[in-house]
Formats: sequence, C-alpha cells, structure tokens
Amino acid sequence: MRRRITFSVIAAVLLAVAAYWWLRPDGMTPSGTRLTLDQILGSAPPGFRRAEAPGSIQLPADHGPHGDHRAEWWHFTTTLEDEDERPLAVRLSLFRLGLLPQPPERPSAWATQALYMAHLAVTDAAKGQFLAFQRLARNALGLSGATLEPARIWVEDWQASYHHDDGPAFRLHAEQGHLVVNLRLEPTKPVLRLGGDGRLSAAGAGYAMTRMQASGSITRAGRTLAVTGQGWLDRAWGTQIPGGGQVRVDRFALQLEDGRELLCLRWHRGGRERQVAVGTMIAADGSSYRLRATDLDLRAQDHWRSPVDGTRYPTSWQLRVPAEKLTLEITPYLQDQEVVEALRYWGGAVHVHGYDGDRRITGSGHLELTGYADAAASP
Amino acid sequence: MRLPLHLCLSLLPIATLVACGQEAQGPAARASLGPVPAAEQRPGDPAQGREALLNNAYVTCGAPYEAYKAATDTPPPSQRLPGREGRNAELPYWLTAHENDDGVELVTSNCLTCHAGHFNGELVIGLGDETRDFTEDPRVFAESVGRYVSDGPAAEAWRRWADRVAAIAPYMITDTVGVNPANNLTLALFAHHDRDTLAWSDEPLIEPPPKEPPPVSVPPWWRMGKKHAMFYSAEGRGDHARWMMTAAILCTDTVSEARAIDRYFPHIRAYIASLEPPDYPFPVDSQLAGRGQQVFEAHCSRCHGRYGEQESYPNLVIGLDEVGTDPELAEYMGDGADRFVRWFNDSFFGEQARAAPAPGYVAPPLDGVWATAPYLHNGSVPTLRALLDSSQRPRYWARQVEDRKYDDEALGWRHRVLDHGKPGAANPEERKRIYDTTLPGYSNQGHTFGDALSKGERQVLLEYIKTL
Repeated sequence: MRRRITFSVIAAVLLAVAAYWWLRPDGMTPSGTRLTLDQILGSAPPGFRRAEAPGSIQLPADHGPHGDHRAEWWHFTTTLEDEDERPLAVRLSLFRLGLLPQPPERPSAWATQALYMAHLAVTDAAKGQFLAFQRLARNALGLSGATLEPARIWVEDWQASYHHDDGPAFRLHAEQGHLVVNLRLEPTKPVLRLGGDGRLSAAGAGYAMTRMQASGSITRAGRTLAVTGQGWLDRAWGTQIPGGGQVRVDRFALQLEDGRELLCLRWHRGGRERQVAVGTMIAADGSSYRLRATDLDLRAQDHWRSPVDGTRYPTSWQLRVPAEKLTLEITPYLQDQEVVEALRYWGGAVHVHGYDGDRRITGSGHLELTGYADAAASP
Repeated sequence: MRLPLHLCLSLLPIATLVACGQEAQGPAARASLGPVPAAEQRPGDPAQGREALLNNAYVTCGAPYEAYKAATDTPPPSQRLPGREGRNAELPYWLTAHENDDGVELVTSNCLTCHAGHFNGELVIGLGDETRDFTEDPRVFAESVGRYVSDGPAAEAWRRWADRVAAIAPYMITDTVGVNPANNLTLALFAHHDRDTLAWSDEPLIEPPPKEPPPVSVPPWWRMGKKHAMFYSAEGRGDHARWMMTAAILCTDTVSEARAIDRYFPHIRAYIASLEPPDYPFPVDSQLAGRGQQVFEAHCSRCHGRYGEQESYPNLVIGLDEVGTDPELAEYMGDGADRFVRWFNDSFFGEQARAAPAPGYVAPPLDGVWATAPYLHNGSVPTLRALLDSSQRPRYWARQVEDRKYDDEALGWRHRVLDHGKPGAANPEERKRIYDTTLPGYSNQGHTFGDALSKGERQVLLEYIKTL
C-alpha cells in the first residue's frame, strides 16, 4: 500500500512538472496537448480533509491557505468602466491544487505539496475583445504560494494581496505581455458564508465578499485606462478540484444597482426537467436570505457555440423570483468569453436589466458555465 | 398496462371488486368509525429487528459513497448511533451503506430520517423528527452530488438514484419547515411502480397525488405496540410489517427484491412494537399528577385508554364531526386516494396487509406524548397546554427548530407567536418557518375537549401526562 501511494505521488509530481513546462505562462501550449486538471493531478491521495463544517469561517485567517484540503480558490471578478464609461471586466482566479496532504519528505527544494494555477481574463465589450491567460506553477522555490502574514496568493508575478494600510482592501496585480492589471478592491459589505445546507459553494466550505468598490488601471499596448466599478470575491476550499463530474453547474453572481446582490447556482443535465437551482439574495444592508428551488425560475434565452468544437453555452438568461416580483434579463458583455485551458468553461461578465415590481432595475455581474465541454477532450 | 386474460381469471377471487387493469374502478376498501379490530402479526425477534433496522439497506439506491463523502461534512458524534457496523458506523444515523450489483458502494436513506429525533440532547429512536426541513427541493442534494461522481458504474448508480429523486421531488416539497411529506411521497411512489410487477416507470401509471403534500406530524414508533392499524385514519390494516416495508419502495423494482426485504421486516416490526417511550426527564409533582389521573380517566380515557396498572387502549377511530380537527388529510384518504388504496390492495403489499381508511382520525395512545410536540395530526398546536385550552393556540407561530429548547411548563417546544401569516413574511426564508393555521390542511381547530375543564383541572392533567 505504502509503495502504491509513493508511486502515485511520484507520478503526480512528474505529471505536474511536465504540466508546468507545457503550460508555461506565455500560453505556449503545443497544439493538441492541452492537459485537463484531472490529467495533471490524477486521483486524490488519501489524507486530505473532508469539507469544512459550515459555520467555521474565521477571518482574516481563512483568506490564507488551507493545505489540509485538496483544493481551494480565490476567485475575483469585477465589472468596470473606464473614464469614457466603456464597460470592461477583469477576472483573476487563483487555485491551489493539493498533491499531498502533508509536506513532502524529500529534501529537494523542488519538492512540492501543491500546484497553484491562475486564470486572468479581460473583457473589453466596446472592442469586442476577450483575452484569457493561464499560469501554473509548483508551490516551491517561491514560484507560487499563499501566505497569511502578509495575506498574499501568487503565481509568479500575478498576485492578490490583502492590506490594511488605507482601509482593508485586496490588491490585484497581473502582467501578461503588454497587458498590466492593477486593481484595488475594498469590501463594502459583510462576508457571506457559503456551503452547508445551502450548497451555494460548488465544493466544500467558503465565503463570498459580494460587493467591493473597485478602482485601478488596465494598461494595454502602452495605453493606461483608469477604471472604477464593482468587485466580488468567491472563496472556497474542499475536496474536489474544479471541473469534472456528471452535472453542469451554472453560477450567477449578480450585483444590482440598488445595492442588492443575487447569487444563484444551477445544476443540470440537459433539459429543463433535469435542472434545479438555489440562490441567496443579499440585501443592501448585508442581510441575506435563501431562495429555494421553488422560489426561482431560470430560463436560458440565447446560446453561443464555441468555435473550438461547437459546444453550446447558454449565455443569455431570464431569471425570475416570482415571490419578490423580480424579473431579470441577463446578457453577456460578449458572447465569446470561453476559457480553454487546463479548465474549460465559459466565464464572463454580464449585463442585468429587468424589473423589481414596476421599478426598472439594472446591474451587472458574472456568469460561469462549467461542465459543458468534455473535460477530458483536448481541443 | 393491462393484464392478460388468463391472469385476470386466476386473480378472480381477490379481484371481484376490481376491474382488469391498473385504472380499475369500483369501490375501494373502506373502514368504519369506532374500534379497529386487531390483526395477527407475523412473529419477529426485536433484537434482530434493531440490527436490521440500523444496518440493512432496504432502500437500494443512493449516492455513491465516494461522492457523498466528498460532498458532505464529517457527521458530528450526535448524528451517530452505537450498534452500527462497518461503514454504517461512520455515517449519520439516517443513512445506510449498500453495495449494488456492480460493486458500487452507495449511501442510502433509512427509516430514521423521520423516525429518530433528539430530546434533551439524546437521540431517541422512534421519536418523530419534527425539525426536518422538507421545504428544500431534494434534487438540490442529488444533483449537486453528481458533481463529485466519476464516470463508470458509479455514474450509472448515481443517475438511477438522481432520476428517482427528480421524479418524486415535486410530491415531497412541503410549505413549512417541520411538517412531513412521507404520506404523499409514498403515494407518488405507488403511482410510479407497476402494481403487479413493481417495475419502475418514469411516467406515472396511475394519477399521482397532488403536488402539495398535506402537512403531517410524525407519530412516535412506541405507539405501535398498542395500535391495531397504522396511520392517522387507520388505513394501515393487516400485517404491519408489510406496511412498514413500503419504506423500501423507492428503488425496489421487482417482487422478488420485495420478498427478500419482507423476510426480515417482521423482525423490524417486532422491534418497533417493543419500543417504550423515554422517561420524563424533569421533575414531576406526584400529588398533582395523582389528581390529574382522575381528571384524565374521567375525560380522556374513553378515547385514549388507561395507563398504569390497569392499562387498556380502545383503538378507536373518531369521526371528523366529533373530533373536529382539520379534515383535509382524512378526506383525502377517504375520497381522493381510492386509486392508491386499490393499488396497494392489489399489489404485493396487499397480499398480507390491507389499505382501508376510515372517515376520521385514530385517538392515539398517549404514552410519552409529552415528548411528541407539536400536536394533532398536522402538528398545528405547539404545546399540550395549548392543546387542552384552545384559546391558547397561536394562529401564526414559528418553531424554534435550531435550539430545540423544551418548555417543561407548557409541554412542548419553545416557539415564537407571530402577528402575521405567510403572506406577511418579509422573504421566502421567513415564510417557510411560519406555521400558518389559516392555510388549508394546517388548521388548529378541533379537539376542544379540554376547554370544558377548569384551569386547575388542566394544570393537574398536564402533570399527569408527564408520567405517561
């Protein structure tokens, strides 16, 4: 048994090293060799913890890493405007992917317990541009990691950090060729706990900071745009690496202009009869309440086909909460906001228009559609 | 589906009132008000029954264990039961491990989902759980577990279970936290199984029950030793073990599977019938209780029986006019459920048991009744004090299910009395926690027999009830 574990660990580390070279930051993925996370990580070795019992969120400690869980992520999304009120969106997702539940026994400085992966995506609605990049690095030699003091998560020179110097805020920094993103995200609402009975976390326990005041800059090809807007952090740790499984999961993180947020999670297997969704409504004062499956009506309105292989994503939606007299039309900033990396998903910024009773209401947010493309298939 | 002619003829003795086919017409079996006659029960060994109840998987579909484990938290010690073996020892008490024919280990639900509850920090087998939240769509758990299921036989097993859950989910989502949908769920499962072969059908074979389950409180199992018939309208006649094993019907798709489960259910019935209520855990004033016994025997014993040395229980069904409690459940079982009565009586289950609802409600035995709040068949009255004085019954109230603090003066769970019903709720989450007695099926009317008593009589009666 011991030998088998050792072998699987060695195999996982070899694969990880191979993956690291194939998935270098410059996105030079040799054609036909896109590795999925499943392939990179293999099956989980024993010893990782099960999902955290709900109710145990401790901040700021839980901003930091949870090495005894197999996977976790810090998922920052923003919807922004430049000075000419042109809509832009930035997403920075940082993942820790555990290889071993304990630090490796080998003395090598290359020995690692985890890989870190990051996705950076910028949507420029006015230019019709969607840019997405991936980085993957071992948690060794300072290449990637997460610390609590100071609170920082990084993959090479992409990072998210938490500061108190001018009020508590996250700072995001990422450079990719001529693209430079610098954002400051200041939480303006209490933390929303995820997981537990509500199952609003796709895996394990976690929390969300559903409204953060965003400001900063985006530099492209030497031109710097000052941007402002709203940010959202989804944070989760648990047993499962993202992706895979038998169901598709759609996640709606919507910020309404009246100060409310709506978080919905929908599981489905194709066809309306095999879908179920739950949600949480967060009031302007930060109080929140659950929306059950029977409180929600979600209907796809329009689809987009991926040029990669024709995978069909439902990118436009009508979301109704009949008891609240709320009807929202959700449309994407751009149809093509598909990420095709070690994880493949559609993850993009959306506009929200609708009615709260007779009152017109607008907003914006992020929609994530996962499990649509065959996870194991290379493009 | 229609039966071939020769099979119809061979079944003629039991089918004299039933036309050939599953949509058979003609009067369904009915019972009258008054005493329920005793029915012979198959013998069983209570110790073997407890063993089987806690360890045998009678529901044979569920979540693949690996996915269940990945998707859920480690259960706290308060959710585990001693006497469980192997994998079951690590599962919460309401789940049982089962290996299917493809070698996939599954986690399946068991009877204790509804029939075990906490009192005073102790898990009591047989105490109905009046805190479960069935307002959530069960598909949320089933589908979300799918995220953790890998391809292969585990995926197939998960799909079988998730498809069943999806088919029955609309019939088991309640409007209010704490009320139980099991009646309606069972009727929906009858509708989806072939009466003759028990084969599952994705489409219902007879008209399914209404989608809004009537609210039902879970009765304690320790009454079964005295009861001649099961359920509120005494529809569960004949062999109780056959009735109890309808709990296995979610994925029991052949008569031979049903027979295999039926072989050990007489032991489970014997165990359930052997259960005694817990002792009242707080002080009792025996002098007051003694005076209360006189009040009880003068005013309550005719329907609810005698306790103590000269124990007796009359097994009476009381008519709706007399008891006056919410009629919806009894009326539905009387007029709306003929097709299910016929389905049951003509199926494998009807071989030894019989469905025959009476147009009223059974006056239950009151052993351990102090532990079984809220009261009446729909759980509409939060305490025994309010049951005995109808002016004290709240029109709108919310169960405080989170802390389960027992009120040892009013005998029931602590609750909040509200000034508004469900329409006045601020949001859906508050709405589902409001018990609104103005809604159909939720009325707290009837059983006003205590109103004729003096305040002092009611007080000593409550003291006596603590001793039962």
